[in-house]
Amino acid sequence: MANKKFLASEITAEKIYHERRNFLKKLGLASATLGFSPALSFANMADVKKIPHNIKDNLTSYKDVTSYNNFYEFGLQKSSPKANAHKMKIDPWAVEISGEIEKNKTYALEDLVKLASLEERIYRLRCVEGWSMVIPWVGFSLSVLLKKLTLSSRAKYVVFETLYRPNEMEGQKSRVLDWPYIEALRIDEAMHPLTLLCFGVYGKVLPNQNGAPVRLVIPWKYGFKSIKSIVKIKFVETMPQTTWALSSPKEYGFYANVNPTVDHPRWTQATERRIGDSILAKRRKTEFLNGYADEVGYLYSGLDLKKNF
Amino acid sequence: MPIYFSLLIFLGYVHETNPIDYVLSITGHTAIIFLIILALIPHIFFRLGVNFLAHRRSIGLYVFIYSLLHTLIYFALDYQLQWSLVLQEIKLHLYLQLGLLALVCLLPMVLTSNDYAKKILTVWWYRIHKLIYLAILFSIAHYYFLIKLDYNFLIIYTIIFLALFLLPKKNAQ
Repeated sequence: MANKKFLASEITAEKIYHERRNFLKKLGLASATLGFSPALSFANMADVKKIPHNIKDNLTSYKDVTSYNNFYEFGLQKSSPKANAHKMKIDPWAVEISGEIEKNKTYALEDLVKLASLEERIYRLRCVEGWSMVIPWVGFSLSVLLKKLTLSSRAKYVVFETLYRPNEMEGQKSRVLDWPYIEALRIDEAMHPLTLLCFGVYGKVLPNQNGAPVRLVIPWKYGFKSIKSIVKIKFVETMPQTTWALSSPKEYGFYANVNPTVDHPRWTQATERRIGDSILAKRRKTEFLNGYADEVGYLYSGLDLKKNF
Repeated sequence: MPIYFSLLIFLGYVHETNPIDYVLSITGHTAIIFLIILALIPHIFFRLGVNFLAHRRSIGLYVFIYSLLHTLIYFALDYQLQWSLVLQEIKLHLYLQLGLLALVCLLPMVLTSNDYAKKILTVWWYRIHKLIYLAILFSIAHYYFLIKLDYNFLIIYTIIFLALFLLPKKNAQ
């Protein structure tokens, strides 16, 4: 992480970072005594401190972040996840890891969250539908987990799977998509320090509608790549089929990198509407790789991004 | 009603996370629903003994007002009248071309929606007003190429549209 260039807007001020770190330590301590898993005890904290930040763009409000999103497992409207996600049981939770690794492994959530200290990462999120947000996620790099595993030389891609439980996730009763939801990354994308294994938002544990208890956040790709409520991780050799690419291969590719020059038949990719902007504000120009080209551009050198969209 | 509601949203009295998108959606649905009701009048309502024929002109104007609002909100708020961007969008996206075609179909009907035009155009007036079927077709297609997964409304609109051709029609005199 140290030798890659980060924009000032992407990092939390050091002082705040340490304040947070202490805060999180205290939480860990509290949870040990109370017997909750660290992630869950987070939510029980009566008054979570507001986290100051030094980014240029305003953060999208907690209310908007947690009440306007797509999580089709809970219905098709932007308001459906918040309305229906409370039915999903997230305790106990475990993540099964299999495929091209030395030995299959299952992590209980409370062990997974302890693999590294949690960091706050303020990322832009660009939805393929042409709207965007700025969100303070909490988690650590996915690479932390990947480095604990012994991958075989055949492990070229990593596949993630969302919980499939139609009784608790009513959207799964309709066959609008091929459930369970599958997303995947190339190993080098997964190893990139910006790829976040995320447990929280705004200093709190993730609300169910945002993909509790553990999700990915890949800030340079369209939002649908950032899979929520992960239960399985599998390493494979060939490029896997992912849910949206399977649903409509002409519209959604495997990479789904934010790219203003690759248009989508339904929505513009040249510009975006930032949630929270005034109705009299202009749409913002969408940046190549969502503005993270300096950090991740090298992953795609030599790749024709118009074909590999 | 949808107009007042849209105004409340724009003035910030009702919180909508993505207000422009939301108001585009309500004005669009309102226009298409009124349009379909309008087309249903000679096909269905006369059977029910309800004489809505007299209301056709005002319903027609609602359709036009909502379609125009829908289009203006897209140009003036969503794109803040940045015409080069708008033109680029229209060039790239079929749903925008279809939406504009639907609006163009409404124009001759609006312009001839007065008694005088009806009198001098005679049979041509009826021919011009058959454009309503084309306007519905373009509106439904506009919507089809825009939505992602939620086809519920589209299916309802399409079924009613097709039903229009199965039910004999009675024209107003």
